[in-house]
Amino acid sequence: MIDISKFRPKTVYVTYIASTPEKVRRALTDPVFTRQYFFGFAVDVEPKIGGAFRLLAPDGHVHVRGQIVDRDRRFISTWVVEGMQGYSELPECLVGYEIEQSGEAVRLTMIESHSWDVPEAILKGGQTGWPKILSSLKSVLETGNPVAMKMEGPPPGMTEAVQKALAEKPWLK
Amino acid sequence: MNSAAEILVRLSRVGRRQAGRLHDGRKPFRHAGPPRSDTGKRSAAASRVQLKPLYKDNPNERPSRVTFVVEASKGQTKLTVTHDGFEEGSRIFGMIRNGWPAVLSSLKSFLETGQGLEQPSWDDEERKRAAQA
Repeated sequence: MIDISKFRPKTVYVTYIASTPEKVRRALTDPVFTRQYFFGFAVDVEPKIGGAFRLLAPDGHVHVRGQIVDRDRRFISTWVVEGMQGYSELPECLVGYEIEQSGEAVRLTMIESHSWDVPEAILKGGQTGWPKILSSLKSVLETGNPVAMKMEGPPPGMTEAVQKALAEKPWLK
Repeated sequence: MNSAAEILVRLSRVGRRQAGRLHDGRKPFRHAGPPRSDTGKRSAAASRVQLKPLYKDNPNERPSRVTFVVEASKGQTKLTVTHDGFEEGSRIFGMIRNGWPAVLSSLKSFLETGQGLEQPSWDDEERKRAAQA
């Protein structure tokens, strides 16, 4: 099993949702929900520690694959992006969700953690996508309707930063 | 669906009438004036608003800077809030950093459902954070 103590949080988003912890958890782990707010991706979870975690694109190809690390108070899985060329050769990252009751609302925290000194240009990819995903998740739970958003290509400089990282492999040093 | 202008109007209304006042009616925020566009021209339709918050409970902190940028695209609106200009070792930075997600979440709920969220108690949030640390 992966040693999560080597990973450091790099991108953290907090959103408050008028919902219940059970519904938020279901929205994160049920493909019926994720298809609505996660750029059309269907989550596929094998519900046990060490089980498979996948995000499947509408055409069926695997966009993200990983392994479930924690599914107790937090839901954490490893992430390897398969759907973009070269990205799958980067070290896996961790994506964790923490769901807490906060008054009458739910506080959802998304934490993207990495085991190496990831350049800002690579982090920018997640930092462009997560606010859209989490905004739309909140809308689905509160209004029943997602915010229709398309996944954009990599932000400027990201592809170059990925190529440079793959050439230099700084995580091996 | 809200246009950029509508959200901007709502923001400045909320800013002046509600969010700009503490529970006891004091005003900790100072509005930096009419919206200023990226080109530097003042315009009612500009999508950028800056505020200069003053902290009456922490008068030793120098004023920081809040920038709201509102961008419309295809029936949706992207709001970006940047709060910077804190001094080294700022006492209020931690509180403010934890405060914005609750405020912006509530703003989104208010615009989409007509009802804001109950704001979390700062004391509870601080206790939780201390327990986790």
